[in-house]
Amino acid sequence: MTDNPYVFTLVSALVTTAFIIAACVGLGGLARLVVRLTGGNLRRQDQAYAGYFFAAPWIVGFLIFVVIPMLASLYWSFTNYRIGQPTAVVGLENYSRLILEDREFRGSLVNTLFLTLIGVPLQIGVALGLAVLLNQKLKGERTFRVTFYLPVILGFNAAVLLCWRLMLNASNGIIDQAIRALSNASPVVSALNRGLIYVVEVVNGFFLGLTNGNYTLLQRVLETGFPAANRVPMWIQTPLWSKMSVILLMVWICGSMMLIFLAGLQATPRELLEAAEVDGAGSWRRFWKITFPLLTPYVFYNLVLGLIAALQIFEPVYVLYRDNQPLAPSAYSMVYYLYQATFRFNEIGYGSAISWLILIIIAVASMIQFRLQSRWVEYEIR
Amino acid sequence: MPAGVTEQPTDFAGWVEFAQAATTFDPATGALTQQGFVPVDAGTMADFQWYLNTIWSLGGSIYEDDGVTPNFDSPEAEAAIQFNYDMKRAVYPDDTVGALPAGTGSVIEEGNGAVCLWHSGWAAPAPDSAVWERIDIQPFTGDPTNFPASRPIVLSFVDWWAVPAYSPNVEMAAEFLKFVFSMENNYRYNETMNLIPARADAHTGYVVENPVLQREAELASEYSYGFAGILEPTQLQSILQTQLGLYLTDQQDRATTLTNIQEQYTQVLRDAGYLP
Repeated sequence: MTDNPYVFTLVSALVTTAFIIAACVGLGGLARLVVRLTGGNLRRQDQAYAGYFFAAPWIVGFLIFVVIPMLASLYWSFTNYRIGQPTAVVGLENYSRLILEDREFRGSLVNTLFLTLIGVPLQIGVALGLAVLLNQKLKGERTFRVTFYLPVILGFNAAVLLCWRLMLNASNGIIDQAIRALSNASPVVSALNRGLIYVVEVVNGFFLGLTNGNYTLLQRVLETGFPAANRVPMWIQTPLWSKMSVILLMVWICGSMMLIFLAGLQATPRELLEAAEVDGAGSWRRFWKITFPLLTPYVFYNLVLGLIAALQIFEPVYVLYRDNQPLAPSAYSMVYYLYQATFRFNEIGYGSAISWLILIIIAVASMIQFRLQSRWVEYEIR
Repeated sequence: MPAGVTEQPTDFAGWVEFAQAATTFDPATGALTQQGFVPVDAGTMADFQWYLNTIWSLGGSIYEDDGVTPNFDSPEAEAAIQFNYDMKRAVYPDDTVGALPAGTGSVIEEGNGAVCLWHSGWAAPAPDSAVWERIDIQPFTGDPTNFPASRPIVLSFVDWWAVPAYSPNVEMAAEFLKFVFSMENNYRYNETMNLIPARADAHTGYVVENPVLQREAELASEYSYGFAGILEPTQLQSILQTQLGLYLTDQQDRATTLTNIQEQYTQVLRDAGYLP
């Protein structure tokens, strides 16, 4: 090609544009041909041509950037493809190694399940609580709505997550400083803080013992006893708290769920609540017997999306623990392990197998949820 | 420095004592205010580079005599990992102690809390910082009390250039490398990054004009142990960091840790074709 980078860029852009136009014309023409062969009249042929002509950019992009890479990944998952080395088909060896031999993948799976089973219900609970609060007609409601949704806009980008690393420092991080200040100000808060710390450390110590076959950490927690008054969570410093720091971030970013719940709350027929109030039902009873059942479709929606997101969690684990590898095994998720296998060890074949296994796990989990929804999700008012 | 300490410890027991004496806490926060010893990771103190450095300082090797079979079941490997653990517990007696506050600049700068930093090239102050007047740069001397083959070493992180085996013109690539690593080019390449040239004859100019770099260059010339020639280094790094992390955070015992390192690295080398 040319040596001039500007000319090269211009030529590349022109070639790309020509390709897109050719794809539009080609796909439109193909659609027209199919309609003609199936007996469609001229009008239907023209409609097919126009429809596929305008949809072609997306269709071609979908084929090139989604379907073809997926098929390539599926093929590689049955090979020992590694960058710089000859590739051979190995059948199901990658999958059997993952499921039967790879302790680290099993560890990542267990970590991911922990994050999902604890993090997603917490996310939903906090989101519902915030939505209920926002549903009260209070001054500054819009400001609060924006504030609670801001984390979603900021997202899990590297800059934000690096700030979280600083905020989670046990010594001078703002989170623990706030906990310290509140604990010093109130004996009730202090007792609650210490109790929560103890519960979290016992549960995580037990969980880590199950994962590693060694209960030394749990023993140490039990020997140390109830935490001292100056204790704060050791968010990113010990394996007893590494998963909780990721869960904290999951809860922080529950703004989307909150908006879904808010829409559900605002769609609740007021006459039902007023009738219940007239009949003497208190606020809790009204919420639990009327509002919550009507919210179950929204809970289900958030549960499905939350589960999928949790099973694919990566950025918080990567940024919080990437260069703190000693704590990574206690926190790394399946997708982090996939990243490690594929991009650090260049084991593309093995990484592809991991990605397809993750897909299967997510698909099975989603199918189970859809199967079970009829037992508890109410789409109609009865 | 702790009161009465005028030179660096000369064996493992001395180092543990030093780290303990030089570490202080704030009872109000339960966190460190001064950390007696800081390897690359100040929080968990688990670092594979520090671990390998310790093995080498004892006269050990990560491979057996054939240069391929992993040697993590050696007495040196075991003593090194135990030393790393003892240093961790000297600084953090238990998991309720918070790390140093997050600060700006090097952790060994005035007020940031570190007393001894391993190594002087990682997160160190700028070479012209005034704090260097109060810092003594020395090689690590291992544990001659228990391992007579111990030697002082300075770990050299050598930037190494490699020519892939599938390159179409390997000979020309090799000639290019010889050109890049001529005395003048080695000097110029490192001058841009204020690093010490790998060639001793390139230790001139900016290297000798700065007392810190000059001292490091002198030590490197005499005691340097290159961080090179490691097979499947990415995989080994991951194995070591994972296993060290598990051991230093009490999730796994020492024997299991060493066995895992040995077995996993052996498998990696087998998969890569280095071992049958």
